[in-house]
Amino acid sequence: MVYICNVIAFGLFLNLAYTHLATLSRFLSCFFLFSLLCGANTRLAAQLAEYCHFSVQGSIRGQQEKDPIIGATIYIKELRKGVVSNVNGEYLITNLCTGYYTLICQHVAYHTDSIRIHVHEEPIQLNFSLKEADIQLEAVVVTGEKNLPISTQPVDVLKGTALDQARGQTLGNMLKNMTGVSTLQTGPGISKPVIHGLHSNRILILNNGIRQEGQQWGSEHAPEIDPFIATKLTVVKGAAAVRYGADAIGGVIIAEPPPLPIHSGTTGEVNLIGYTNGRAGIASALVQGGFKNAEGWGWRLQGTGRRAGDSHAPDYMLSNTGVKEFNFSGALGVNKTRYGADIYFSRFATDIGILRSAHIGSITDREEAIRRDEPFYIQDFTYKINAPNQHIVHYLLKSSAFFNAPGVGTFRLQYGGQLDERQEYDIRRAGRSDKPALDLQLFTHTLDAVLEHKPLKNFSGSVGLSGMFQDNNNIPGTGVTAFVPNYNAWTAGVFGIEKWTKGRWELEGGVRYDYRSQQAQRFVNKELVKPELVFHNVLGTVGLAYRPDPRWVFKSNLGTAWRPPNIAELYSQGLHHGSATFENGSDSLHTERAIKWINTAGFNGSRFVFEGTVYLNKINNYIYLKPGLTIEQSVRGAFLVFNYTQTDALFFGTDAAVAYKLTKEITFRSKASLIRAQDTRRNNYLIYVPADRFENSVTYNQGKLGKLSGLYFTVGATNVRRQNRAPEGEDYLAAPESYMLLGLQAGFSVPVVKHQLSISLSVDNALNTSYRDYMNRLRYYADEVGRNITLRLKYRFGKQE
Amino acid sequence: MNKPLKPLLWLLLAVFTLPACNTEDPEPENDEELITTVKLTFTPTGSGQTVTGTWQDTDGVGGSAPLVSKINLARNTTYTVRTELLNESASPVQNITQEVESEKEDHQFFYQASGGVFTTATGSTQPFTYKDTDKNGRPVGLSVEMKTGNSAGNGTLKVILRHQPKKDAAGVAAGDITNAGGETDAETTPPFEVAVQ
Repeated sequence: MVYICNVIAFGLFLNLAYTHLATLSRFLSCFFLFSLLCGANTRLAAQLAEYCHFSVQGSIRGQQEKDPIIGATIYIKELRKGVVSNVNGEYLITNLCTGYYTLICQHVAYHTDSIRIHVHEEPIQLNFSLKEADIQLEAVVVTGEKNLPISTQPVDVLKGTALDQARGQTLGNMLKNMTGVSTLQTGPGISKPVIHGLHSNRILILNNGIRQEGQQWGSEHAPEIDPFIATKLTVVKGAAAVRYGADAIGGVIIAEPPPLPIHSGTTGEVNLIGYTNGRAGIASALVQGGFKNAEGWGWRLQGTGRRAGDSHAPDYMLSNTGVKEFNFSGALGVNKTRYGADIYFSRFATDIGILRSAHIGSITDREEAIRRDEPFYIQDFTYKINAPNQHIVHYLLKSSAFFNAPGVGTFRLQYGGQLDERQEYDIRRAGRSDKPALDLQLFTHTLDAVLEHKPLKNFSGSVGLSGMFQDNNNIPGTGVTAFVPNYNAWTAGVFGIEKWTKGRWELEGGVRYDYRSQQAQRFVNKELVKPELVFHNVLGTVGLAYRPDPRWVFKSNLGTAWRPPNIAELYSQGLHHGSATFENGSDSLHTERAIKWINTAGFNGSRFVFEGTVYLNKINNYIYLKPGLTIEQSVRGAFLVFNYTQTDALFFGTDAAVAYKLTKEITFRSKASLIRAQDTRRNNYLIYVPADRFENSVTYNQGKLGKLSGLYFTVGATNVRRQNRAPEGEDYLAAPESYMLLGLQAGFSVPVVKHQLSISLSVDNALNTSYRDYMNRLRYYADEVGRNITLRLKYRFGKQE
Repeated sequence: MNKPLKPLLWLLLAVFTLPACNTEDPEPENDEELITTVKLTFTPTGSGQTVTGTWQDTDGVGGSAPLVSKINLARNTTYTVRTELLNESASPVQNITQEVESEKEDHQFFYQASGGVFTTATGSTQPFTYKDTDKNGRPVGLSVEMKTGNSAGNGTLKVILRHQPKKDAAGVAAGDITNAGGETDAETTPPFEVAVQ
């Protein structure tokens, strides 16, 4: 009987002229709906009278990842009104009169879905299962705020094919695909992400939900994360400190693996990447599965190996820039409706060579190195990594659990334990090059407890507590005075974020209090002293979002943040080896305080997508390394003295991205990022602020060609202007000239033994242009890398039940 | 309390209480590679007085300015000059010269003079000539020869030690530092003052 009814429903569905059978998801949803209506058929006549107290509710989930979609609009076409889904991906529309309506469910990261419903009897449960958006548009602009506690701040997401296309690069360079994000580099192997001109301790990286804690103070200390762990990279561009704690002045980077499987069956993925510049090879594999008779349980194992030799600039070898990396991770968890828990472990280990020619002993050495057109050391290609180099191992143990308390909400508890080991090797005498000149061990324990309360009328939100303990130690035996001292630090924070959603409007606000106490163990003239410092502050955020119709979104967010001076800023004293600088910390530094106002307008049409952001970030007591007027003399030669000082800084800028689908096959894309940064106390520019950047590309997509699918070909150009707004006389070398790089990308998928094999080829710096970038610390000594051709193979296998 | 949460809480408790026990005081690190002193010994070939000069900066980078002694030489004399490097901040005093001797192929000294106190040999542009070689037959400069001029006068002498220089680059074997590269391990700035009587 039910079967027949479904067949009739299917027939009815086909006859409806206003819908298009575009996706399987819509088909299934409609099937479900009509089945529902069939069941109610007999009582239909009695309900025909006009009655306006109906409500429709349901959940919105992603088709592939099955995760709740937050912030999707559910819009009733006929009434021109809509609601937004809450943190659990649920929505509720009330006060509907009987009648027929078209519900349009929309989210920029997904394909829009619309369902025609007949409202005449309660309860109406209507679930949407949205297909993850077309890679092509998603790569350009994403205003999605999935799973983010602060939804009025703009975010960019890199996932799916766009992420695949960036595979093989460092995490920093992958993030460069997003507007407003650039990198601070130390040669080809080390890149730190920069959000709206801020980096290191001013941004936060969440690795699988845990605050990444390494030695972030160093500008040549890249994040210790295997980019292959993440299937989604999100950048929050506002001051998101209210949820994640102090430090997040510039923004937050979130690297997330997919949720663990909950059904039995084993699936996996293999990525093989090779690139010419550095003759590099990368292999990454992932296997995951569930358990028979243990619904909800899942596991995953993952590993990545990378080997690269010396990179080369168009005219010469960049000697000693190889990388050797091996990472692995494992996870086990259970995920039920009411509760869930998981445990995760990862180890990241890398050896990175630092350009031999960038290692200098004194000011004279530097002057000589800068004077030369070519670096001093140009040797034949090798995979061997010699001093100067870095050896880093990072361990993460994470354990988390959640519990849904009916009528209260969801409790989440999360522990993260991290051990970061950093060894830096220098060119030294008498065989000491094999002995680390810097040997640090940092233990970090974090604990977070959050309650996401059950939505109350139009309110949703969360409250939480977080704690962190850190223990930093110099491992004895380096034979070099420690650059940063040993220390212990304790941090505790409490926060609350609340959101009010009604129709097209969304308002949110949050407050947070943090307390930090730290004790260092440093040597002043070989005498041990133990200075203790305490910092505590309140910060907050307020935001507004307005969605006049499903295509438009306007957001405005004002957030404050603060950051205690870090250990290097407070206590570093000594020679920064290999860079001929003598750095002096200052223990009288005050807390940095920032207020960031960020505004976004987004439009998501069928052919045209646009997102524009304007921001202003005022940072008081901005800490920076100021070149001193003195020169230190020693037997090793002369060194320039730098002192950590404070000033007031003002950052403002704009990011814009547009995509225009000329035809079904051809899409144009443009991106621009502009930043202006001022030292308002000295009325001067700030050093090391990214230059203006513009990217343009055109993509040709061919859906299918014989057995091949997802064919595309992209030609793109990146223009980076000269940084004309650099402070005079505070740099060793003037900012490099503007440059333009041409890039090509092509790819397709082909079925191989029941599954799809994705193949892509890209050419970076296709014209082999010689250039230098302002944000690369090695620009004084050598050009950037030349042409690089990358071949990527990706194969997914297995079957999920 | 839900089952999966219980062991987790115990784990957390353990983790938060354990690190608090670690309170051992660190020891200061000795800078093994510090060079505090450059000592020059001028021994005349033939009869004459042996002269020494020291350049001392016992507190390393930063701190007080280096102490530099004056070198008084006799005119028209050929000297064999030996350079020694010491770390006088360590006890006992560390002899860095030995480290250089054991890695001769990775080191080279350069000497720069002003005031015309030393003569340049025919065909050379440098005020000194190397008297030693490494295993590849290239100069090191722990031992060099310098010749004072015919007239009295004052000038300066700067000693530079480069680590991992390009010994095969143009002019380097003859004592020209221009193309040498490498890192400066030692540089006597301010230079020695030299008086020729």
